[in-house]
Amino acid sequence: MKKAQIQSMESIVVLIIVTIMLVIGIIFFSNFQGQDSERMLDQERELNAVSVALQMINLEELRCSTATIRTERCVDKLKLNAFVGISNSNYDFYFDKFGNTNISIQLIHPKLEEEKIHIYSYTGNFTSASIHTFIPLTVFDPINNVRHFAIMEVRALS
Amino acid sequence: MRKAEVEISFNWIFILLVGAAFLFFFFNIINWQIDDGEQTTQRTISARLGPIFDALQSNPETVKVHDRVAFEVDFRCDLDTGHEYQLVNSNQIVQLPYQLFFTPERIGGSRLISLVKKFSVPYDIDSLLLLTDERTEYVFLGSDNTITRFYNLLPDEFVKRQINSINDYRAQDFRHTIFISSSELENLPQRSSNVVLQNNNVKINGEEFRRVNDALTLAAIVSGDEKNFKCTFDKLIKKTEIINDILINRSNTLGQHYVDIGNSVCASLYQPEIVSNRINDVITNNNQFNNQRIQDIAQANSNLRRQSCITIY
Repeated sequence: MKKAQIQSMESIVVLIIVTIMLVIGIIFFSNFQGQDSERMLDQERELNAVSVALQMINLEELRCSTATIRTERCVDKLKLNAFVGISNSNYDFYFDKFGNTNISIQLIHPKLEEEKIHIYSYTGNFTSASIHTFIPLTVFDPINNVRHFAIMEVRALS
Repeated sequence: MRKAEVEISFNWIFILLVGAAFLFFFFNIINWQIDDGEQTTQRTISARLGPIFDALQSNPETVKVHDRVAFEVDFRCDLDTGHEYQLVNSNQIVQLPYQLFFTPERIGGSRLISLVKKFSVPYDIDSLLLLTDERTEYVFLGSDNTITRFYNLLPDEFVKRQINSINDYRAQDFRHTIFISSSELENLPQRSSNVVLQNNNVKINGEEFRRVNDALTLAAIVSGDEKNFKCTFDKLIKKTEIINDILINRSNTLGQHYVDIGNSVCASLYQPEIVSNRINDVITNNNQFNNQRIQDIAQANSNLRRQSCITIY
């Protein structure tokens, strides 16, 4: 092999190695970017679940109140029962607020036969695992004058 | 040219081409990263503003002056797109499908000022977020009782002043001026709007709305924009309809409960014509609030409390 041919071969090999390194760099970079986006999405889902839970316990539709006293983190049981039907018939309105979540309230003490009340359920499709947020609250039954200790569960779906 | 010379020239051209390709490639990556970074920042600001506004709204009867923000936000409302906001010079648009925010058309580039008012008819419907900034000025014209009362109701944190008439007005360096008067103004200065406080109505740039309570009137003043106000007003009507349905359902259950246990006093006070029908009439057929029915329900609630019955709200 002549000297000129060897030099050309050298140039081509260098070119191939540089190209391979470049391709590996691009693959590594895009993988990193993908992981970053996934992490940001997870963060947003978590924030969304907390935000939905906070909105839910402050929801005026459910709040226990008298004309003078405003009770925090308290849900009126009669309003809750009415809300279950009404939230279904106003699904679009509440979808904008609660999005891809399932929200339920579980009465812990004293317990009732119907322990878990589903107050909003996302009706679309979802694939990945959900993020759960739990918030303690009181459910007040004005007819029997009983306060139930309860847990609100918000499952963020994606 | 000798063969060795050709080879050297070829090597230099090769190095130049590959170098240029590398430079072009990395230059593009850097540019793309900068653009992406800016878009991510704008996306993050847009996305985070929503929860911040929601958090503000959950503290009723508060007024806050926030740190200066570098960005400006446009609030829009039309039939096709609904209520939305967009950062100026950004393509990120965020919809506001249920939020009860009353704002001028544009805020930002200065300190933001927020006021949260509870809206009740007479039962609580929601908190209204009244949001403006230091570049929006509120000028109250005249000294009649209503004008003076709302001048005093608007917190001192807002940029406000009261003058005798529009002739005394000297324009200053504000982005927008909202004139609050008792009669409609002609020949408004540039970059301004007019909110007219009448006995039963409030007129924003000529469009009339029923005055229900001070919270909604303050909302009209702070917004000063008829389209944005109308959008949020419609959402308020929708929210009231839902709460009405819940309270009617609850009242019927309570009425039946009192019949079942033989408490005729409370049962009679929960008759549909006293409670359910009146709640139903809080919103009129033309989507306005009925002040008479609001008073009737407040009265019915006091009667129930007086008789030690469970109240409507």
